[in-house]
Amino acid sequence: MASSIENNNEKLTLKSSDGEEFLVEKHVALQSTLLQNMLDSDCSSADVIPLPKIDARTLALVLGYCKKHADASSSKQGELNSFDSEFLKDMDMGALFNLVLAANFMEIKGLLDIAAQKIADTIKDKPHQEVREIFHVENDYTPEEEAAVREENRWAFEGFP
Amino acid sequence: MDSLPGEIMVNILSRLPIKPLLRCKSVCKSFLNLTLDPYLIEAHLDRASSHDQNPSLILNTTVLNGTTHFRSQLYYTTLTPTQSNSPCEEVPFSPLNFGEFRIEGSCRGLLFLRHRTIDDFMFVVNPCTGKRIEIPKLVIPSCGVGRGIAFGFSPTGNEYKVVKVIDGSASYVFSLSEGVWREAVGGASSFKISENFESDECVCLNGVIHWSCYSPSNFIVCFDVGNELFGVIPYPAGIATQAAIFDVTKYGAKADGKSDISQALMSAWQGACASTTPSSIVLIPGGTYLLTAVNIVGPCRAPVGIQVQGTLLAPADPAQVKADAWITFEHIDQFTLSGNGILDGQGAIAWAHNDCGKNANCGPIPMNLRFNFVTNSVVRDITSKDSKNFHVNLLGCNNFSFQHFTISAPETSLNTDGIHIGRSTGVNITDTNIMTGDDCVSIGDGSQQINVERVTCGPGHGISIGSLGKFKDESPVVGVTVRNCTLTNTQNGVRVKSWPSSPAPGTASDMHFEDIIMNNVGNPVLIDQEYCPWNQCNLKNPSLVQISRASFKKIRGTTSTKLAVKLICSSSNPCQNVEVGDIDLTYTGKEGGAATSQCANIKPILSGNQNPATCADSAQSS
Repeated sequence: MASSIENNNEKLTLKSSDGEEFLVEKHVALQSTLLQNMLDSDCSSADVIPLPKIDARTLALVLGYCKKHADASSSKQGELNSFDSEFLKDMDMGALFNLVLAANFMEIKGLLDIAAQKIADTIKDKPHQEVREIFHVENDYTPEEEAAVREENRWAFEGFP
Repeated sequence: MDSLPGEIMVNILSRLPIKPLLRCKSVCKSFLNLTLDPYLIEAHLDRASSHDQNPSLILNTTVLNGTTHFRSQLYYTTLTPTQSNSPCEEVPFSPLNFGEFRIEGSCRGLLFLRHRTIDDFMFVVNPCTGKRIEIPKLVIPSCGVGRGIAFGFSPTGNEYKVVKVIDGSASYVFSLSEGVWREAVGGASSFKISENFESDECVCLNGVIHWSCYSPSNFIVCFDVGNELFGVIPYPAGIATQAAIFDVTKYGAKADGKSDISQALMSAWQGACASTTPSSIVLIPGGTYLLTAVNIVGPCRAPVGIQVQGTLLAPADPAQVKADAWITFEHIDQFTLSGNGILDGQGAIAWAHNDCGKNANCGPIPMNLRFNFVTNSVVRDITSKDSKNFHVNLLGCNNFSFQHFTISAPETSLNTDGIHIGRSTGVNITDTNIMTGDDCVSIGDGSQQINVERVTCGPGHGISIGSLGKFKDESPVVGVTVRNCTLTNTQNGVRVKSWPSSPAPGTASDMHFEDIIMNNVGNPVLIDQEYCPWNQCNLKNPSLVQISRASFKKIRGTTSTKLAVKLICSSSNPCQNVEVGDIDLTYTGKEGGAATSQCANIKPILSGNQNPATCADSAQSS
């Protein structure tokens, strides 16, 4: 098994939830701890690895990230940082959520970090009513409960509705 | 789209600053639960304390609330390298009042607080969220004295613990995750804790609490928060040993304002005075204490001090202070009296009954502080308040300094001279504020090399040399400098005074007053050798005190009496070599007109500006 990893030219095929197949160089796929573990344990005997939770659009983004990080030499950290911030720049919330789910599933720590940070940065100055909409959650507090929680943390709400 | 799974939400929320995180509690119930998730708290703490994130700083401040009450409050601020003005956030504490607590320790983002007077009222608080856990009272079978209490975190066990060390080699642990007190697993048997284990400071680092101990000798006691084992590290060779601290509350003093602490203070003093460790300190911690009267007596074996952080109250009834001074210091070398505390003489009753002005046989009224034969010593930062008589009296002292000292008593309080210096050499009074009912500084016979600088006076009766020439065995006054001082609304300014009909000759020389600002001051410049208050003297015969080599220079401001420069010397011993230069005093009183000057038995050497013209009126009248 080790010999197969050492051959950088080897490729594997990933299949998205919506059926699209992606041919990926092995050293790029190794950015994902999930895939690395599969290769290490020789679970990759199948020709195609299905990723049933990740759609093609998201998988393309993930693999773009992995390729950049796999190819860049360690001395180009600055270049990678600017790639990372550019990578997420105009992404909508839906795409970000898909990306963070994919990064979490595929165990790509760097991508999980920047995507989660991007979401955190987006919500940090927003009132909690807007945070509800962003995360598609219902307010299940009674008005009295909501007032009590708010009163307990009153200082955090200065300047917020 | 489905909502994100909990682990990802924890990841996202752990990246929020504290306020947005708290606001997220209002989103919905599942968000509220997420914010209470131990993993989130853990991750948030990790990020907050990692060096590439913005570290936070906790500030403990005390602000004046109204005019008399202090209010302590905690703030936290985020240190952002690019922002010099990071906003400060007040840490929520309600319904508790933070001011009633002291911070006993802090560890990995949490603070350990203890009530200032209720010893076993303690809790651990997260200063960011305001969340707190009260530590229950420790009930132990033995009656040992608590030696050390500390708060630590063990990274291996991922646990916060409070540890309390008790006399008799027992130690107890309260783990926040267990929620009960129990004996330490490692037991104190791993280290025989000395009965004299004394420490006020500890720090938790890498899962080990370190107490710096000063008694009986300097060493560090360690406690591993994980395996609960004790250890000892000797102090490194060659570093200065820490001063020993003798806390009066450990000698039975109670800060209740009612129980007399004189015994406790004496016991603590005897310990400090006998200590061979330099700069041993008797500590009077914050709080209000009653003290009847004490004699603090040396000599001691090493430099020694008393630090007053609290307020000491004298009995209000003068008869209860069975001495001529409330606190007497005697025969001590290299002594320091310091601290931001207050020595309150509670003099109101004494002032009301003081008839010493009219009754020569009046009973003794205790002063606040007496220093007899105390040498190479300092009084610093402390406040003397409402003394029944003089605030401070120096006798036979040598090389003695007052620095940032404060004296406070009402303008109407009788005989409350600020600092009286007698038969002492090398006394420096600097950066000191004096508000009192009599002379701010009075310099008696036998005073040499007295230096008064950057002192404010008022209300009060000014800064004076004398009264001299009342007794027959008086020693000369030589070398007094009063410089850079400000007097405000005082009865007199700078003056030299002596009684008429002296029983024996005397001298006062080398006295210099320079750079003095007068704000609405009566008799701003005055030599009075016919000093006779209450008319209890015989004006027929002159004073025999010879005044020479004196100067009044750069004295400016406003005078409340028309007669601004009065130099009345003795007819038998006219003043010699007195310089008057650069005087600029404006009369602001009701009569209107210019300030005047009157002289007798003096031919001053004049220089610079003269407003009023010195001795002009006397020249016209003579």
